[in-house]
Amino acid sequence: MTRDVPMYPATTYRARERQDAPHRAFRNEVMAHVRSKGQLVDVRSPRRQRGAAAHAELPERRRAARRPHPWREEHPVAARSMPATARSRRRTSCGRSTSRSTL
Amino acid sequence: MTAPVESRGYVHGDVLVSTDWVATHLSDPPSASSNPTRTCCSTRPGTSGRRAGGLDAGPHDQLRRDYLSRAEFESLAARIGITPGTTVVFYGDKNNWWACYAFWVFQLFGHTQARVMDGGRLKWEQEGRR
Repeated sequence: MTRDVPMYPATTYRARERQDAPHRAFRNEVMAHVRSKGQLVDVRSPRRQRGAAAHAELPERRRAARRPHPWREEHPVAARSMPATARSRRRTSCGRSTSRSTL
Repeated sequence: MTAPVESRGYVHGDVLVSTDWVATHLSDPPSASSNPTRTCCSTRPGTSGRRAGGLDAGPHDQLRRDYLSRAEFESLAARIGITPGTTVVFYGDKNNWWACYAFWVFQLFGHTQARVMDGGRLKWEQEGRR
């Protein structure tokens, strides 16, 4: 491991326009998804999902507790918790990705 | 114990690569391959060491808190010296949290030659690799 930042010769890179639609859901799409009883998965830690801790590093994500908040009475579809960084898993797996069967 | 990548039942099994895969592919001299491999360290800048030769790539817009624009992505890609044919391997901290973010941003711009290194920086370091 090193702290040296490598230098590579610069290139010219022509990219296509960003295409969000295949991968990204926007607010209204999430609303529609929730209203049709679609499933949401919350990958934050259990503490953050419960609202016991907010995210210190990312101020834009400092919204504690779970979604969908405003619509919970009308649509009691709480996001299911599937933390991406479970402590026990990190200890046993050195941060490796979870298998399909475990997920 | 966690099974090897290829026996974990992933649908897109080629996206996640092992530290061995990275070590093997990076030992090829860059000029010997028309499809070179580059590693990108996606962590908060300056917080930790990197594998030798690993680049910084934090593809998000600090002001608007959104994904990069096309021009910003092109400028990032040019700065780290890649072309659309370069295989980019992302690795990071905390179960590849930002590495996966970077992987998806590259998908938005059609850079499909992208991989994530299983275990990220932690596993690379624990294996005593450079």
